Amino acid sequence: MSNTFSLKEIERQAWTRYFEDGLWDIWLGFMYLGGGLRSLTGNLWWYLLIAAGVLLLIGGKRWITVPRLGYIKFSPWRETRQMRLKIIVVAAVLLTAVLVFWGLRGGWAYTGWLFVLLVPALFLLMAYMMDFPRLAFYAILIAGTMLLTQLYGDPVGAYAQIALGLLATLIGLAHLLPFLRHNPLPAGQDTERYDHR
Amino acid sequence: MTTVEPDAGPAHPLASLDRVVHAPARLMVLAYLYVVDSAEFLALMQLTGLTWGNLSTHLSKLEETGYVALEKGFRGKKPYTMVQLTADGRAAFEAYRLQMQQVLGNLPGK
Repeated sequence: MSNTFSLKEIERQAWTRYFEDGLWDIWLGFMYLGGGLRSLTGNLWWYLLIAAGVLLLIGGKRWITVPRLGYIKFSPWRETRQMRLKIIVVAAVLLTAVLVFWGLRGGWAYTGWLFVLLVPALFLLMAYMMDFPRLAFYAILIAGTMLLTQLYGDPVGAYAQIALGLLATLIGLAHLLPFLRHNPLPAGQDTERYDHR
Repeated sequence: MTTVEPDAGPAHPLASLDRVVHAPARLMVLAYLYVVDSAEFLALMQLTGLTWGNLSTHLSKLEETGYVALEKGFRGKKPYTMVQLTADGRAAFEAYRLQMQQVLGNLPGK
């Protein structure tokens, strides 16, 4: 625990402990692993890994993380910040869809380069708004991956995505395993041991 | 013979500190509850580092004073206890915070 004890720091501490499980890393890893395999072998792996990543993230938070850390309802300030981020992400996804559609219809020749800027920028913004610095690290790697894809196409781009996917998954597992060890499920029922009345 | 007590003068500001808030363990609990909307007993226990019994005792005191409210429920078959600052609790913590800032904030020569 940090030696700095301020109200701001303890709120941040309470928030960021929910990222210690590595599930976001694994989700990102599966997404890029699937993307890379898709370029080499077709859509099946992409669908499987995307679905597995999402299920692991949502299910993991519900059945692994929250039962071990307990639930906190954060302040309206934090909730508003996350809501703004969700709106930005949805807008970015819509913009991506429009750009992809436009690109496929022979739109602007530099659409690919726009993605090289937009996607890492989105992850940097997510890192800031979620108070999750590891996403900034991934943003840099994503930028590198997309740059390689743009410059050399597949299979170089595909291998870069697979490498990123494997790295992120390993980082996620490196967080998840100690998390499970250091945060066992609480023994007994809540009210059995807490009854002050 | 009547004993005349010397005029005690105004009470020292630190004497008026809210002792319910001032105890270190309760101060920690209130600080965490102040920066969130509500927290489960388990989460509070982990954040503060207090034991089950210790946290239970302090929450009892805080609930008795009207500074926290407890809500018990079930998630499926698992019971849980959510703890939240009441308006009085929030006001008491804020008053304590301002008082400490006033008392400790200014040094001579600065």
